[in-house]
Amino acid sequence: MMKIAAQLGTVRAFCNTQNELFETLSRLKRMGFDGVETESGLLKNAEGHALAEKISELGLTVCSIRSPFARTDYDMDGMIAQAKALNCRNVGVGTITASYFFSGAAATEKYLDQARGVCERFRSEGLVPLYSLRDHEFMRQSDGEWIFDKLAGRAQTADYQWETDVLSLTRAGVAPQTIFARLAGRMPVCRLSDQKIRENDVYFFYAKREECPLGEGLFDLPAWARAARRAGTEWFTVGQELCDRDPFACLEQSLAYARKLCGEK
Amino acid sequence: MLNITPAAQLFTLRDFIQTPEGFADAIRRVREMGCGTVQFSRVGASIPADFITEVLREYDMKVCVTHSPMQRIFHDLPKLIEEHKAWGCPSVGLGNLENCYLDDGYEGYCRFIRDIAPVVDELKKNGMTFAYHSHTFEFVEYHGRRMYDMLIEETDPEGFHFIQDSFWMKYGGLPHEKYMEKVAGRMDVLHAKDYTLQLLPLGRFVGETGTIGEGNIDYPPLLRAAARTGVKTIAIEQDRCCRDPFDCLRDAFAELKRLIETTEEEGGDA
Repeated sequence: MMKIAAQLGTVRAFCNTQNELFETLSRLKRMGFDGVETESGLLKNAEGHALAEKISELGLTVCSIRSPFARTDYDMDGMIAQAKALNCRNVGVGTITASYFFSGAAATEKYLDQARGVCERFRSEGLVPLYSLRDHEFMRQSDGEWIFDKLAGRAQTADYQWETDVLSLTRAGVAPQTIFARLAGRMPVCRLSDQKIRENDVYFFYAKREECPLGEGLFDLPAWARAARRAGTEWFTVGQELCDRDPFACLEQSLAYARKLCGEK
Repeated sequence: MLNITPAAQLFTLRDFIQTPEGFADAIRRVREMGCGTVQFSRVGASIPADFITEVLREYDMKVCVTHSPMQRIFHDLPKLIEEHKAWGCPSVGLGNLENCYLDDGYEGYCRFIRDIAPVVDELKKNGMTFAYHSHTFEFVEYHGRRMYDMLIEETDPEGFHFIQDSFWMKYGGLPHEKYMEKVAGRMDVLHAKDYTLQLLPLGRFVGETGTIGEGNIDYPPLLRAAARTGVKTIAIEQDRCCRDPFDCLRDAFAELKRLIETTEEEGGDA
């Protein structure tokens, strides 16, 4: 059975205190989610041990905790401790950031060297560094390559596992199934979302696109989900950055659609 | 190699085709690229049709379809047909559904379908087709139905044809090959451009129209689907160019030609 997690960021407005966060986690569990995917910042209002106990009591799995790459520089120990406390194997290391991105090949090499150190440390701790693949990795560099080509193909980051995101891949203009095939065996987490065209909102031929619960939009999610499963994905996570209605209702609808995608009721 | 003709959509060169001299020069330069088919769009309204006919003859240039002004399609159809016949062009196209329909949402699409039906009939009587060029806004849903699907399902399949666009399908995150299947036999001309990522000043990456070969669209699967569904011509249309539009067109044409020549049909070896 495929495991499905809620992207906690979808309900970030309901995570402002420990009580709120615990109630939100309980609600997600009652909806039927197997786990949550979260940014580390969303957990900061809860005391660590109490949070670990709550998650354990609910029987939820934290499928990934994401931090900006910069945190690997100033708080690697904290990242590791948090992941171990929450029994989370996939530790998100964010994406390549602007300081490495816009300064040419030397900066890319610098990132790769730092990433090698991160990979070694995580491996020694029994953890997996999870790279959050977005859209900017598909901007062509002066050599005609994507940064993604380097990140996915170089020895320094061979230990990286990948969290893919269909909305970002679509916005990058690449075919998600092609990227999934390249990352086969290295893609434990796949973020699913959907996109529709907003009514009566066209400027200079450009229609406004907006996120929506799975199944309401234009994405070919059945094909992409099949491709992700072929690539060995363990977790589908569902969620939206913006919701046009109650975010919990959006999550519930997406969960039901994701279960159907996986051939489950 | 696929049996598809690469062509130039003159919208790419719109700034250069507003006078008779500019038009003739643009056709000459396109011909020198090795391109023998164009689509008309935004050709200067004051350029006499006879002059255009002469230029086409002089450079042995074919016209696969036009984007014609909506007002002329509805109110000057006999003359439009006459011009198309003189140019050897079999299809009158609409480049963009205008606000008088768009602003009415679902009702607007229904009204357009009603209004265009007699135009389609008249074109059919003359052995021609109407061609609707889509962006992404047609994929809006009203009453649980995408308006593009309504255009497919509630128009005359023989006379109402489509021009899909590789960029705009990507922009919507749509499965383009599946939408080619939906209009199989009703799309003689496909628009092609690339999808390149640009960084905006506020730190957002956006997809922008680019020169084929410089962006992220994976063309071989699209080309195979185009061949399978009856596309005869692929017209390069680049809305915005970061350098001289003729240079963009030349590079895109060379790349599209190479892709057509090196892509095998389904079941082939490549």
